Amino acid sequence: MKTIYLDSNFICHITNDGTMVEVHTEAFDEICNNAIELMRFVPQGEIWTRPDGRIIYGEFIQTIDSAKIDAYQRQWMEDQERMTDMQTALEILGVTE
Amino acid sequence: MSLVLNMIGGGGSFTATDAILRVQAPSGSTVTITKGSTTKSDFGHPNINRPTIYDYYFIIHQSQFDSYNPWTITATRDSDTNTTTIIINASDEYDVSISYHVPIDLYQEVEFLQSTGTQGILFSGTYGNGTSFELKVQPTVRPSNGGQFLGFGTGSTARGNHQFDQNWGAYYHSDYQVLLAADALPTTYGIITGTFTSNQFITSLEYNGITGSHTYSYTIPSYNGSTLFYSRNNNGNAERGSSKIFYYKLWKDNVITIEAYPCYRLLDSVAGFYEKVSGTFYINQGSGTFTVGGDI
Repeated sequence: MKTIYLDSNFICHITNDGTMVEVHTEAFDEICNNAIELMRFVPQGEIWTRPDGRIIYGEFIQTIDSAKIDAYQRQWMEDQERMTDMQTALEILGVTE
Repeated sequence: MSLVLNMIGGGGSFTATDAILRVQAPSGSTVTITKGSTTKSDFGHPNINRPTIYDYYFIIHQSQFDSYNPWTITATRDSDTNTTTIIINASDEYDVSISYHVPIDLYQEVEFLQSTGTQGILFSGTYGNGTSFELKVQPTVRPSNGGQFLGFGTGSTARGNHQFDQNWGAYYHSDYQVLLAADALPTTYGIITGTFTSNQFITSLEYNGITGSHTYSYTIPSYNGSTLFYSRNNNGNAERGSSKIFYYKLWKDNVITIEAYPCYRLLDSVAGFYEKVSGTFYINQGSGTFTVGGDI
């Protein structure tokens, strides 16, 4: 479960500038913060009226820049894997917190 | 009316006795209308309310009205083409929409549908010898995290299943073959093709300019159903993966029976695959919500 913040266009943010709506969701559990900020999330029960007049009904999740999201996710997963490897090495060496 | 007149393709001046034909088609299309030896074409203009759809305007003069012979409307974009017809026999406004993959008045096509390991699409039907398919897919988790994106066979009978996984691997019963050595998160999509014929299953993967393939020889059963974003294992349990799927096509005896494109329904924004052969919209049969790619 992650806490995200939605601006008036339902674009996701990691920090609240004071005008955003706080939302808790499991939809982005495996998504890194940089990628989350390139996504749109309309929560269940909410509607978003796009500038062109079309109504989008929640729950609705859409990528805004899928190429950048892919790049951020790859980097994040590699970092996560390196972290896991380091923790494994420390455990083998008997180093604990 | 002056706005319309500025957009008219095909030339000619407009008078009150003429008809106007407005064709809506996906952006980037070239639309041509023909009747007999008369041809008019237009590159279109963005629809003011829907940027991914273009409007194409044509004047039909009164002398061209015809109650018996329709105009043929052809839209083309890259390798896609589609046609429809309309009778124009009065000084009126005519509206036609034409699309390639999904009906644009009911659905918004998107680049892909993406799962997170809980979603799934099930196509009913039976498949086996004589079946071939093509899938454009991009796994979105590392191979070590497992999970499947395509399966044949949905029952609990062990030998009825055939599946493809995040490791670019194909699996049948106890035979597992990685089609392409890819020990990393894919950086782009791959296209998987397969053919079940004469008790051989031949499958290949094209990824980033590299091709891998494998041939299985066995008595091919009659598969009950085909699944996207998951498959059934030998115990009949669903194994779900995280991936993007861009389209899925399947042929039986060289006749296309599944041609599915990702989209969301304009009525309620529910994401799914529109299967254009049967005109059926397939929605998530798992849990959670699909992430959709950008509108196209």
